[in-house]
Amino acid sequence: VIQEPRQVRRVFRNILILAFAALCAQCAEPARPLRVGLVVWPPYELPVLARSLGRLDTTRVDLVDYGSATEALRAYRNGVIDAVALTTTYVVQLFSDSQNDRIVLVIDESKGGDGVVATPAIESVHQLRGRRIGVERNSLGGFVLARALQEGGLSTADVQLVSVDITGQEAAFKSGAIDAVVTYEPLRSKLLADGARDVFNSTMMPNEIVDVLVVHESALEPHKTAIRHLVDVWFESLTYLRAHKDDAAARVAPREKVTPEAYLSSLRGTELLDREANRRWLTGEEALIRRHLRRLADAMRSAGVSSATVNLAQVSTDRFIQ
Amino acid sequence: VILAGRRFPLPLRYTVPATLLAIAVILLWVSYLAETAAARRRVEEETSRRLRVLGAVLSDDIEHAIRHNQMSRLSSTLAHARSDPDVTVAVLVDVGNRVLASSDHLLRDRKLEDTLFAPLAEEMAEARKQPAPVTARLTADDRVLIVPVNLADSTALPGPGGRGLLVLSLNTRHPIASATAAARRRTAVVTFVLLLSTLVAWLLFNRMLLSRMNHLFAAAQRVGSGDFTADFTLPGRDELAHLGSALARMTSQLRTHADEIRGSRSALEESHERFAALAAILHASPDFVGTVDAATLRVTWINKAGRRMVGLGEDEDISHLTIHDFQPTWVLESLLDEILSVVKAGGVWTGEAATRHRDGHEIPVLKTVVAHRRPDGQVDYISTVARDLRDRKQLEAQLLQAQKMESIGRLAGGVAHDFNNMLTAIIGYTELAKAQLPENHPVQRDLDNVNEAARRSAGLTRQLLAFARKQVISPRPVDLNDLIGGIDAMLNRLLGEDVRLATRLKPRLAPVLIDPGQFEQVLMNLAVNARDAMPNGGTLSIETDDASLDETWCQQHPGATPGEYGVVRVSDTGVGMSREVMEHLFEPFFTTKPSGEGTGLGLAMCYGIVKQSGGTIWVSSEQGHGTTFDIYLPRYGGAVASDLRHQVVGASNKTGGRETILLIEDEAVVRDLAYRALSARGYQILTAVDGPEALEIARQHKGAIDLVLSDVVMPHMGVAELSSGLRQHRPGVRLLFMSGYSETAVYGHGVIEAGAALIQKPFTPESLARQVREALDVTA
Repeated sequence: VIQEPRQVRRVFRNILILAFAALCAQCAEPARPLRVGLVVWPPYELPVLARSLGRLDTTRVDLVDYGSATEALRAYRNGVIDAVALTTTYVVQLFSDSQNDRIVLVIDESKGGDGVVATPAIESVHQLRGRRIGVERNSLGGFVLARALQEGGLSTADVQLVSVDITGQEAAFKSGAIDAVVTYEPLRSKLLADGARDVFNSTMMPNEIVDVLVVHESALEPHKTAIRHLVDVWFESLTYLRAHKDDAAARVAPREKVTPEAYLSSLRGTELLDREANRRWLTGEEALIRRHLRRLADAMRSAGVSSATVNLAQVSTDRFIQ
Repeated sequence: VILAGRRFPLPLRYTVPATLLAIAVILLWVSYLAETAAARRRVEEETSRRLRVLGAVLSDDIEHAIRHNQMSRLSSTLAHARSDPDVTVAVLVDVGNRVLASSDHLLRDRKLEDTLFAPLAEEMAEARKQPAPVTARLTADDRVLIVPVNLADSTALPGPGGRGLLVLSLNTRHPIASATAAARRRTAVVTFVLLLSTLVAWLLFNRMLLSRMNHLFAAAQRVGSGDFTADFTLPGRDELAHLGSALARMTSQLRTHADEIRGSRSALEESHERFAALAAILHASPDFVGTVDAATLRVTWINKAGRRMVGLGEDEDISHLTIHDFQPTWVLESLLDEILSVVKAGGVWTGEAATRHRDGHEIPVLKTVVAHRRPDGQVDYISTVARDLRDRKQLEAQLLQAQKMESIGRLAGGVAHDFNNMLTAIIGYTELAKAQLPENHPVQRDLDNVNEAARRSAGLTRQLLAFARKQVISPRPVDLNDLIGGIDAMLNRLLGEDVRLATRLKPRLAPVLIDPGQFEQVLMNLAVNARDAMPNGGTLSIETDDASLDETWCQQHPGATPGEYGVVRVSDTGVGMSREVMEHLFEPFFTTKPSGEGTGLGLAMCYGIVKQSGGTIWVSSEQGHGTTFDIYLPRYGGAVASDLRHQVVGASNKTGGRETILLIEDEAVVRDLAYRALSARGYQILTAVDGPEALEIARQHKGAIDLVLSDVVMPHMGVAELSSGLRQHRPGVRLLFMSGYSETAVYGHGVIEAGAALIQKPFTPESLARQVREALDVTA
């Protein structure tokens, strides 16, 4: 009886399986890079610095510039980008809408970087009554304004609000269209340098304005190496910035449209958080970020900026900072 | 395996699907290449289209923002370009190539030459000259669209108005990779389907074709190993089923043939075995057995004895020989044709013929020739059985010789007997005549001459009797070595100076039973003959030995009887003898010596003495190489009484007496002589001519009868009857016999009882009277 040799059969089978497996391995849809939305805000220059230094793998992480947080948030919500650097006021807003986002990195804490500047004639928040105040109609702008008005014992009814986004604030302020503006670095420093008066800033509201990197939950798993890479180079850039201030500033200042010196001074209004600080913020059952968000949500609610209740069950993960 | 060969190293069920699969894979590969190329082309077209749409939308937005001095919108407008993930950067430059706005904030306010678009300066210049967008390629993957934008309507622009450029860059790496992956996916699906269908096809092929072929193959293998019961039938009506039934028919035929072959093989083997057995029998035969081809007369087979007979080696090639090589000339000339015609005609030829030995000598044979025929009647081969007649012829010759010797002996004995009677009369009467003449009477000398001649005649008669074995001998145990040693000196004298005597005597030789005197006579005779055969000198050697003669030896030597013997070998280095001489050697009166020199009785006497002693004498000789006599004498076994015969009558001077003697003698002259001799010495003589008369006298005679003197050989009544008759009438009468024969002959025939006295004829009156007196005295 014809009996094929056992090894012939085995070789035949293995060749077929290998060929098919090799073909299938080439069938997967190629991965796109993790698209990260960034607005102009000094602490956010760290990945840009990394890209400038060649440390960022642009095939894995694509940095997308946006003119304002509003635009960036819209793009994020529309799925144009996978991740976005945001102030937690937006995060509270975001979480009130959905539960599909995770904070993977706490970037900085604003300690004077946000605030309200006014014409020299206005000396304090109390004097804002009846004045025209330019503000971005978003949660951060609204929240900072609300806290400033609280500080002056005023309410939004006591002032005239003019909606001006960040790109138009300088022109509007200088033209006198508005008397004060709720703004942030580096425009804040720039206006102050041009003679404007600092009537309120984030040092007066500690632990309330924090910037974080938020990633779509759906992107966590497919882009896990990209996220880890981004976080790593983020901290590397921070180290570099601390070690080589001038070079780092020279590399990123044009993006902020300021001089390197101005950039460095604008950084003074913020505290950049390193890996250690991030562990404190993100690790554990009662992580700092949760407390912060709860308090922020309460504050925003009491300030009338947001009425949303935030479910803080799953807001962050520390898997990428470890 | 079925079609295994150089072209098909693998089984069909691999080569067929593998070939199909290989063809399919090649087709797939070609289609895959074509598809990826098409995908790339589609991506290029799509990219171009996307860029144009985007360029149109963005340039409209930009011009609108410019017209309304909404410069802050430019940045977000360009940022929108990045909503397309493949768009890497969007830049708006003014007339002076300064970046007015960019999706990448880092590029803002830079000169175009400082950006990544520096290599596209030519295309930029081209784009400014015309209203239509220009496409360019920045790198292999990056497509660039340059769209002219009207900046002239702006009042807010820091630089001069005029035609600006919107530059869009789109990276095609991902879309191409995606399209390629899609193509691969499609190919994979097709491949999977193809593999699956190949597998199904293979299984079907295996089931429909290979399993059926396997069935045929297995059956064929069984047939190959000798099992003809293998089943080739296949269900169905396809080609394989037809092949199966064809193979079944073939196997059936094969089986029939194989059975036939097996049958013939066993018959052949049986025939071979039978032939081998027959050949063994024929090889064992002492006769010549051979076959020749009937047509060519070439020899085909000869048995071992046959090969020996004609001088062929046991393994010698005989294929070149013909029947003619074995025939002497006379057979070839006169017999062969007759033999062949007889056997070919269907008969069997038997008769005496001859065969030729390879060295040329002729061998007499008894031949039987038979022709063997094939079933069609044609003579196939001729066989010959030939018996060697040489031994038989020799035996016949020897027997004839022995018979001749016997009859000569008988004749000689008869003659000698009568001679003795005559000589008794001659000698007796001569003696009587002499006694009646005075001593100086001149007739005395004549009578002495008569007497001398008669005595010489008596000597010859005695020799004749010795040849005829009718001589008186007295055998006793004798050590041959002692006997030869005793006559050594005498032999030396006899042989003379030129002939040397060499004796080689075997120590501790067993004794033999012979008459030593007679045997000395034999040796002397042989020595004299040997001396005469060596006229120029030589050596006579005498050897002794013991020998044991068996049946075979005795059959080849007629006259000999099996038993233990002492051997005396007498050989000389003389001239030897021819065959003719040897044939007549022992005959009386045969001599080769010149007339008058020999009596021709010497060897005849030797023969007689040896034979009478119960022995055998053989001579072998070759002319020029001497002669050897071998004498076999019966060994003494201790059973023979030392005094079987009567006491030899010694010399006695007393010859006369007064006793009464009954004389019985049929021969008148002898009776008369005895009567005169005895009566002259004072005895009372009663005479009778035969036994009955003697008995009558014994019965009627009143007086005493002291002695009966009787001849042994008489008519009418034998000695035994006579003796018993005499003892009836005269118990205790003494008997004295007279005879011309030897006493052995007389006693040996039981004629007279042992111990009875005997007088040997011829006797003289004196010797008769003396022996009569002794007989009377001994008895007394």
